[in-house]
Amino acid sequence: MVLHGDRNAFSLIIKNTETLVAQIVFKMINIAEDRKDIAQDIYMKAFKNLSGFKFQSKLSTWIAQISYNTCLNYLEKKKLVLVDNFYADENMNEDLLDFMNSYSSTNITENIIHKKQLSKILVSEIEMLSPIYRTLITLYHNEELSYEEIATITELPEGTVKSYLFRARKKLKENLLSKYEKEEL
Amino acid sequence: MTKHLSDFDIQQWVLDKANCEANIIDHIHECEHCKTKAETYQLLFSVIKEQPKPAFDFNLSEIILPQISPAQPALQRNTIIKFTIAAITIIAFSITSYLYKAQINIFLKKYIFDITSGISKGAMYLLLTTALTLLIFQSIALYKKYQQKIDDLNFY
Repeated sequence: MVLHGDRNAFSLIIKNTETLVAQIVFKMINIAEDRKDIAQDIYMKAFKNLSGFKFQSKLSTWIAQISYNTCLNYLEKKKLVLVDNFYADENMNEDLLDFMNSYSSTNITENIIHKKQLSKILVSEIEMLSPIYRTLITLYHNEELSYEEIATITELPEGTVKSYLFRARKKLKENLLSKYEKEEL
Repeated sequence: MTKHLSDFDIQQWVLDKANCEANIIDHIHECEHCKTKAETYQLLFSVIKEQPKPAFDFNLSEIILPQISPAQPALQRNTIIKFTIAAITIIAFSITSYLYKAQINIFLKKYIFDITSGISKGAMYLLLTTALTLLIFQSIALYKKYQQKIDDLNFY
């Protein structure tokens, strides 16, 4: 229908995929002014290549793949760091453990307050991750996509997706707790 | 108590308890240190999940739809280009053959008919048809490969 010029059909595609595209664009592109051009570029590419869509994945996954590649090209042109090199520390800070113990023992109301504070800190902590880690974390935990779908979108091997996600979660957890502790003090 | 679980094992337990190894499950139930780590991850994941989803502050459909033209004319345009190229090639080949027919005749007699003098006319036509068919198939394959590369370039 879209290929025969039915604009309403394409409008429906935009409506159904806009949230996922926005997640990827917002997580990968920090400059707000550039997001509009990138979003336009994504849907123009999707429209031009729609006849080549082979139904090997969901349409939303295919458009997400275009979004990811478009953002990646943008970042590469700007020569921005795509993936961080995390320091692999397997030992958890004992102070953080104490904090978590105290967190577990507090009452429900306090937990809600803690959670709200954590949520606020988390937003800034996610922003501090590299674009690819931010995107992977969002696609898995917020959009609830499977490893397989994320691998299709990013065109990375499934093992690499799992490994990146593991490192991103670990980094996020450590940053989050250390920052939370500082604010508590 | 054995040594503590790695972050990888703890993440696996939090995300996919059903497919977790029994020793990991047992360890988490027994070890306060690892249990606390697991709770930290659980809290982190639930907070991420609750994050509001971002939205564009402009209407994408209003911007995109006026820019798109139906793909059908584009396809027709593509077909017209293909036929024009094919027609130009055939005309150019015909004109060249007509203008240089004397030289072509000499060339054919000297190099081709001498070689094929021992072959019957039917066999020679069969040979030419096979060669021509192969050439057509190869040209189609080459064109498809080119089109695929152009599509890939457009996609990225």
